[in-house]
Amino acid sequence: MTLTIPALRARGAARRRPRRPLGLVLAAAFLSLVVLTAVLAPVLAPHSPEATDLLNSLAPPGTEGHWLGTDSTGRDVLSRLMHGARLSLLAPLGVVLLSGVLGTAVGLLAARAGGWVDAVLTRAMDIVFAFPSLLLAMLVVAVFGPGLAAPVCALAVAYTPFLGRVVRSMALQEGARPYMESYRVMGFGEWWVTLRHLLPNVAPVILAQGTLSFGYALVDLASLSYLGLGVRPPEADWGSMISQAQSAILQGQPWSGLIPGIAVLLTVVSVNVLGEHLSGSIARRQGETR
Amino acid sequence: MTRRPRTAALAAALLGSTVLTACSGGGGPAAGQPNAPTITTAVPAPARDVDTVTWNLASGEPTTLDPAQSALESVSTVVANLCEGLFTFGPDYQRKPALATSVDHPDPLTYVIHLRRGATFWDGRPVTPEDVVYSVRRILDPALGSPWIGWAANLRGIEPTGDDRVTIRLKKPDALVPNFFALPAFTVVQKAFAEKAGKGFGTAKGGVMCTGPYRVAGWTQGREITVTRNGTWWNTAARPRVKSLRFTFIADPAAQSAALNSGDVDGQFNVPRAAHAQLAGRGNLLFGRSLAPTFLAVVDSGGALSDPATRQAIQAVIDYKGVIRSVYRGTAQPLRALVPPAAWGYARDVYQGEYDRLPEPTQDLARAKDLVGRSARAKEKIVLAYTTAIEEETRTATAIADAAAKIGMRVELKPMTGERFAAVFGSPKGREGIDLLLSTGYLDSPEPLSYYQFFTTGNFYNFAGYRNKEYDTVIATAIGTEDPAARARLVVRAQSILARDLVTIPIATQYVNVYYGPRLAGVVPRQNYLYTPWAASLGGK
Repeated sequence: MTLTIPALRARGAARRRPRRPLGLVLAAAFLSLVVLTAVLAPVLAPHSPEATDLLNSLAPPGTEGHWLGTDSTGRDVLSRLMHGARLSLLAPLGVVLLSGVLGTAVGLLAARAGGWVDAVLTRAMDIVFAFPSLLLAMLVVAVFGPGLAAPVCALAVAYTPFLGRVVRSMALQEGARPYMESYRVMGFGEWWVTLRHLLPNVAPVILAQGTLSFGYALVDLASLSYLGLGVRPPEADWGSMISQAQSAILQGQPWSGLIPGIAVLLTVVSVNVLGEHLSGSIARRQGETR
Repeated sequence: MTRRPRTAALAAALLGSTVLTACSGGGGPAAGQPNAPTITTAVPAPARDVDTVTWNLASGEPTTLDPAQSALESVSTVVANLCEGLFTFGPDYQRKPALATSVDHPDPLTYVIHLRRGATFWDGRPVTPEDVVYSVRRILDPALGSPWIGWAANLRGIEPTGDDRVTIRLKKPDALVPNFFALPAFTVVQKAFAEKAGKGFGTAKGGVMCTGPYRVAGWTQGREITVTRNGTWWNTAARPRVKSLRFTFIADPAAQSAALNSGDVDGQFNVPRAAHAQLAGRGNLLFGRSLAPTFLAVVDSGGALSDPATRQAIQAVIDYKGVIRSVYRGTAQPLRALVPPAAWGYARDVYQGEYDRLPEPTQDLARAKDLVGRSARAKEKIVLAYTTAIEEETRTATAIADAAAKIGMRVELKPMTGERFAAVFGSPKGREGIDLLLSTGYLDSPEPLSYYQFFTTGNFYNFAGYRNKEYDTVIATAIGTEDPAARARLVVRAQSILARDLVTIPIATQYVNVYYGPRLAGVVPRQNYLYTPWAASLGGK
């Protein structure tokens, strides 16, 4: 009899653990696949993403040697999709990291410094917030020329208020809590307390916000590439693949644009699902602790 | 997260645009198979009048309707129907009378032009020798910035020499000059109107005053230009059949395709290739041989391309067959020399003989690799600039860069917007950092010499700074040679020198195309639509 008790307990414990939603599992699986493909693209891709074959252009999916067909210059769509995943993921990651650092710094500074510093930073964030991010990126590209570095920096600046506002609001809430006052009474410096204790408490929110921003950045950068303002040819990213497929689409041969289009859509949806789940978990955990 | 719907919508829009456009197309597997089109040299004349035709300008809204600036496709396509020169080009480019009836050439330095009696401007005033002289001199004013000023390098003067006579005197014989009589360099505008309009001449507000088969009825900037039939046109034998012509400015190829397919637009020159398959089954999609070469021009002769072996290697990596079949979908022909055969306006046997002697352009990667191995500079970076405004050139440049990489050359692509690319032709600053330029040009008249003269020492368009005394001498002699056969022999000599030195690497000559809907007839696809009143031949079926 004694042996059955732990077993029953274990079964009971398993029943209580919330099941992960199917959408979340699928999103995580898809993103893992995309990341893995991007990392292993040089090994997995059947062809060089830049190898042209004009006499074999616009071959349909299923053509021998080209599972997803070829584009208008005869480049293998699958290989370009795999290699394109690298820039399509890395560039938004750059935006998220940069805007994460900037937004956190601005938000914390505004909340903790208060007074005119807070007023100036908040107004500055309002101004940047009101400026369309894509337009800002296009202006920067117009000044510095095409390529990914300039739009990544521009989008990072444009995305800063999204995180900065949330961090400021969270920091103001946390700053009013008794534990912060205790540290001050104990003689710890304001910025030491902010970085050592306040920042870790707002970190999950930063992470959740960053995940969601990733999806936006991916679409914005894909749009820039679609407009011919992103990566330099012949490099591949999904946005430029869609753009280069325009004439093929008009000819009734949409696959070289449709396939990267589906990749963008599924990746953005997956990242959003993951980000929303993360936000929900944090909100629940915060609700439980308060 | 307030931005979520936007992201999802944008991502879906990127995909959705792809799907929707794909669904709208009438492609199918057959659409991918290019067939070489039939060349059209004649079509049935229109049988009936048409009230209104909407014609799209593929290169967008004209900046002006001043014929002095008629060197851009958008401007020329409209102005050709409004304003006339002393002569015009007929089919196959033979010179035909327009505001002049004939020209005497009593000595190598003099042209006496006899003006047509009874020709009037739209306002009813007669065309006078003073108007002609004023129009020509106006273009020679550097302050106007007309691209047609170049014809007058050897001009001594132009004067009215009678009630219906104008005399042109040259400093030295120039065989190129008569070609300009049918080009905008000699387009006649009304002196009184132009002087009164001043800087506003040709603008939407200032207007123009010419003699052609159509007159401006309205110009709503950003939307349309409307021209109506000129009931007092002197050429009663070629009375226009279309009463009102509305020009639209749709520049986006996908939008052009949609507008032509839906019938919102009745016709257009330079229809995007992607739309050919759909439009061919809908209305009249016609092709003609053009005077336009697509070529690589050496811009920096001091870099990697200073070595002839490097230039030969670049020539050998070009997949001519692939470019013609895949990029141009059969609507072009490979080129052996810079000037295409359609531009041999005289002594064709001389040109043909020399052209046949030039090697047929073919991709030869083994030879290219061998040349790279023998060249000390072939592995240096070569920056190849092209305009993203022309999709075919993006694809050609991409294929060249990839083929060059296969044999160990480093060709870096430099895509440029239409505006930035235009700056390349404007000043040396615009060409900084560029070694090689992929470009498409065209000849204004069937005179190969007019193109080959650009590569003489010091010429504005000699971007590479090419210097060859023999070449300069041959071209100078040809310009002074009036006998067509003798001139052709000199021009082909220059052509051989240029082909040997590879200052330019010819690739292909594209066909000119025109589309008009099933209810219309009459327009033959010829490149001289830029300078002849093509709309006067349009009408109902």
